[in-house]
Amino acid sequence: MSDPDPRDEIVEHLPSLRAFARSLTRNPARADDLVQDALLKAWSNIHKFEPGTNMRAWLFTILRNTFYSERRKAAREVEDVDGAFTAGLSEKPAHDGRLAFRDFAVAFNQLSVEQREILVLVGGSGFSYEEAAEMTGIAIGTVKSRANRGRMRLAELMGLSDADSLDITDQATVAVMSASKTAAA
Amino acid sequence: MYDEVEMDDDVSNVDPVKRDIDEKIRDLYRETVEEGVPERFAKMLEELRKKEASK
Repeated sequence: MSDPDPRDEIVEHLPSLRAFARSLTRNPARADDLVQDALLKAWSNIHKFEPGTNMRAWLFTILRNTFYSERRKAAREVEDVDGAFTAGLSEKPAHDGRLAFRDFAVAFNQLSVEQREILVLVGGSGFSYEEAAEMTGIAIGTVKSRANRGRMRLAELMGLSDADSLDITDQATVAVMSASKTAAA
Repeated sequence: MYDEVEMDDDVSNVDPVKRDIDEKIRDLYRETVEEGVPERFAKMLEELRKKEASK
């Protein structure tokens, strides 16, 4: 009996790949083009995938590398800041939570690509900080820093909290941060 | 531009604002995941399979 073909698994990850691509490009059409490019690379390099390892992380890494490679090649980046992640989103009722969903999406698109990437990896996709660090080739402390800076920036853009809270000066956070510094020392 | 100062802790679990933000990020992500995949991807994978089979 032959081993299962790992390529059969690729299709399962298409929805999450599209969501990740959209967070990077901020443009639905470009995101789907990026997914297509990444799929072609994944297909032709499937022999490099180690069965039993995380296919989703492998595909995300290919997509991310493709994005940055194309970005470097482009003379300038043309982004659809207002359309972006918000395009095609359904309207959610205004009463569902503190944040208006669409306003949040617009604010999210104002973050740097590095912050969006990390927030979607750990916040949206459910990867651990360790996995995100491995996928991006960035130190785990920097991954955490980017995530927290991104959250703070979002809160700032949404006018969600006063400056004291956003600067991580609330008592609970200060306690955690202090404990961490003590432990690290 | 923010400094890349390393922080060792995820503060989202202690700050309600940040917890709220994380929930919205999940919602935003889920919106795209649940919207369905365009037919072009199924066609593309099918084409790749056919090419593979014809080798």
